[in-house]
Amino acid sequence: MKSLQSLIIDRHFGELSPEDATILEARLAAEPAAQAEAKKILATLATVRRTVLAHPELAQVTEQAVEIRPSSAHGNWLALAAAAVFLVALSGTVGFLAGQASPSAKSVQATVPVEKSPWTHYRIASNPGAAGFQIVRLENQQAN
Amino acid sequence: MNPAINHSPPDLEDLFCRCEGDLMRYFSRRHDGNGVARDLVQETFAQFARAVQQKQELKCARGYLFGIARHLSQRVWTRRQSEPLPLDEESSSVAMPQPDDRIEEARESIAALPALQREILDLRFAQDLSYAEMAEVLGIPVGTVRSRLHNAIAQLRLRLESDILQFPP
Repeated sequence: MKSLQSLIIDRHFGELSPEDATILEARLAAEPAAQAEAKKILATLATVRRTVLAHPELAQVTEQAVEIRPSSAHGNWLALAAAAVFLVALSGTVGFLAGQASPSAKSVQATVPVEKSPWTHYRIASNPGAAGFQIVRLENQQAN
Repeated sequence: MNPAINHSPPDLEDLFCRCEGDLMRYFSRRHDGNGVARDLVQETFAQFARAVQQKQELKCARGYLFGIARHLSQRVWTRRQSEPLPLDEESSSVAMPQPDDRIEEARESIAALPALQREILDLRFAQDLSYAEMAEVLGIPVGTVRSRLHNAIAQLRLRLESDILQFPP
């Protein structure tokens, strides 16, 4: 909801919508305190107007003085997201390379009993030196 | 009175008739001497005509015109700051304040405001530009113009009314 001051300023400048103007008029008619407040605001506006007209030097500004900076919040979030993605990628790469270079990295086969069957059997074996896990085909005698 | 915003290509002659006086007043207030102001008005219309020829989208012709005027004015001021002023020009560049305590208080308060707010006050009170026109001139959203203007007036009111309470007339 707009404040009384906002409504009066907008009305003074001819920028108030008809709906808001109706609301303002009703409020001013009903509340003497609002009328007194409105008089004070209009007095301020009159003083500011006289001052601005009497002192044109107040508006003399150079090109650098009125640089409008866009909000930095959006840029900050993008920078944080980029930093987070970079850190995750970096830690993943370092972990993978460290695991690959480790001397204890060797292929370990899972020991799962296999029953006799005409089908080819496969097992998942851990291999920290390579991709971590791999699928191994079991030979017939091993399967037996 | 502010002319309505028009999206069709503006009639340059009509625009010149409507806005030449406003622009002369705008430049005369900022840069003493009608000669300088006249040159700047011509340059403003020349740049505007080039923009129309290049078929740039003009949401608000009057606002766009004042936007060009603002850039020209700022450029002149930036150039002036780097040049030493002649003595006679130095003494006449600042308008003489009226002997009114309240206006002097308000002048000090306005001078303490950020440059953008001072410019918005000037465009509104001295040039009678609408919120939409000011937004076009300054290249910022209408809501920002409105909030900065309201904020400036609220600050000035606070200062002026507190001075009345402290030092009643």
